[in-house]
Amino acid sequence: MSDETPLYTEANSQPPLRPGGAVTEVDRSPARVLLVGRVMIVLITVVLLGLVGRVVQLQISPEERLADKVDSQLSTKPLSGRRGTILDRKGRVLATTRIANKLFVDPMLIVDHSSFSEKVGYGLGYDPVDIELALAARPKSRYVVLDRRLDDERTQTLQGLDLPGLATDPFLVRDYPQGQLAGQLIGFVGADGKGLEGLEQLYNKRITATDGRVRYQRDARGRALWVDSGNYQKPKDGENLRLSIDAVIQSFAETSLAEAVEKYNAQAGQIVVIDPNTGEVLALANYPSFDPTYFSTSKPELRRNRVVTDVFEPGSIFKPIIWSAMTQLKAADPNERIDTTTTGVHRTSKGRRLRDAKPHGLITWDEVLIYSSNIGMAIVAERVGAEKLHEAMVRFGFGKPTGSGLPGEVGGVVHPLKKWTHYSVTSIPMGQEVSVTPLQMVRAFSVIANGGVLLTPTVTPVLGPGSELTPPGERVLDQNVADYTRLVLRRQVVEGGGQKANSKLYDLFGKSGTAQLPNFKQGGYYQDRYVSSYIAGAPLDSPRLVVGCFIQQPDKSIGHYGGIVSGPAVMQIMEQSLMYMGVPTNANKDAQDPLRPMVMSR
Amino acid sequence: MFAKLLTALVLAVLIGTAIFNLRQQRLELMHEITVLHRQMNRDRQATWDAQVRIASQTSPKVLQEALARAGLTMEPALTQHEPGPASAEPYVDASYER
Repeated sequence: MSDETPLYTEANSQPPLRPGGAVTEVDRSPARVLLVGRVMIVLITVVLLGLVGRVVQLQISPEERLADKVDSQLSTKPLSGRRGTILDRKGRVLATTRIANKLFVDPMLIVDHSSFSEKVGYGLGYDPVDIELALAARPKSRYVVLDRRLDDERTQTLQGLDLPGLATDPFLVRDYPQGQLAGQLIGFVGADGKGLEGLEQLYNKRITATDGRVRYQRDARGRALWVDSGNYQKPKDGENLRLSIDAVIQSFAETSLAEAVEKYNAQAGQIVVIDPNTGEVLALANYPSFDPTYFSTSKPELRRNRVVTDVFEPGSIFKPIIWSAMTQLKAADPNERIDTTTTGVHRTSKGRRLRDAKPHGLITWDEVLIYSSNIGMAIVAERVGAEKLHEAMVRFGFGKPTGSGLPGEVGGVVHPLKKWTHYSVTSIPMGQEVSVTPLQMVRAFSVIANGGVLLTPTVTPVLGPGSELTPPGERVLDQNVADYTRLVLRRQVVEGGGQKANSKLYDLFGKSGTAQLPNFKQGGYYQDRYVSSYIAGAPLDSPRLVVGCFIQQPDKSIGHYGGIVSGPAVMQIMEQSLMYMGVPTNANKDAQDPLRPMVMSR
Repeated sequence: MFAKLLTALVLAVLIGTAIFNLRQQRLELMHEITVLHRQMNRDRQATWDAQVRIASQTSPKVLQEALARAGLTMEPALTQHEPGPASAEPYVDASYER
């Protein structure tokens, strides 16, 4: 060190003067500086290490007092997933989920209950007395619900009211914006958001959402600062469900059905509209109707989808099925003349006495169907025999569910051969001793409309988004037999009992049925209780739709024949629906544009 | 030595400040994300609401009522005609001969 250049010269090594002339000595020797530096480094390091240690301790195991504060600044909030929306075939919303609000009060924050009740009552349109009673009923509660579901108007008004203690609590609700449209088909969900009936139940798993959650770090005033890391779980919405139902056709069906049931003062009615070429159900209407929004206050019997859950003896609308099957079996020649007697009464080979509505005498096999002759059907059925008759019914899908998968679907009744009586062979061709659902009946009629193929009806679209694979149909009639049956059924509309369904716009082919209701208590049939039905397809040359209308117990004093009670409804729906679908009418078939949209006119 | 120490300290302070700044920015961004997320959630729910309103105000029944109020009826583009007689022709397939 002695050889090194001195750090301080003699001149500048003088100690500094203090104010007043006092001189203090400062040791600025290198050793001293080094020592001070080292000490400072150590101190700073110790302080920093202390701080790091404290941070680690706070992160890992903070003392209870601090841990409570940290926890109080974290809050977990559920993130609601949305239950899948149910749409019609064109994307119109039939059922969806949205946020609604509960209106609640925290009584602890209210100074004067009376003035509060008056302000809320007059501001939002409630009875102030009801509010005061609600507050008095639970004075110690901090959550008194005033309205379980605040409507949109009140929600808007509430935003202008600044009343401490009054708040809303959002929650998810299932909404049915089309009201009662297809109510029984769609079904409803319970308070827990689980599908309880209809398609809501059938597709519950597919459309159910999975809720997520998020954990917020909040500031001292409870405002969300940021999401606590690693505490975000994304909600998963349920899958949307697209149906084959068309809301417009459904609306046509429901309107016509309601008119028919009310006009004939009937007990109930059902309508099914189906595309016979794909098996897609386009409309499925029940009357009395049911609004799923108010399921909790509705009668259980109104919720039932009677198109698939209830059976009836079809009566004469069953004849085209048996007629076509017997034609396929060559049991009768189209040109053959069958003696249905001039009295309208016939005794079968087993001694049963059969009667027609009016005598027809000698008529052709076609005319047997056109005039709906029970006697003619029975004569030819006896030629066919029980076994083949039974086989034909089973091939047309009777006696088992259609495979639509709709909740509560039953298979109807086709008795096994061993239970058949001597009368069965002559009863079944006129639609007795067999029970069917409306959907089964429309499905079987579609075989005649589509050229002989039995399809599985479906409420999901066969083509396009949301489609599901439909099993291939089974041929049950030859194409030429089906085509010919259609032509004969066209004559039934023009010449027979379907004249009230004879459209000016489209060539319909159809069959009416007026079935007496069986009397299970006393046996036999009621003389004044009927199921009046009509089933038809159109257009004749290339059927696009089959419509079946089934009306239970119309007032006989007003009308009870199927062609009169249900025929006009079927025609009206057919005309409206085909026009809506752009199917050219008879008048504009030759026009260049095959798809003719509807136009509006005054 | 003192200058080195000072430099080290200044650098440490600068680095610390930068880290704190980055941390603050991160927190602000997280806060912004949270605000946006909440806004997004509110908008999503408002969309649900709007969807329901649109659906209920454009339901077939409401539209039909609106058409009726306006005195409009839906009809095919061309004129109607009376239906002719049934076009059923006798079935002549020989396979139907008994």
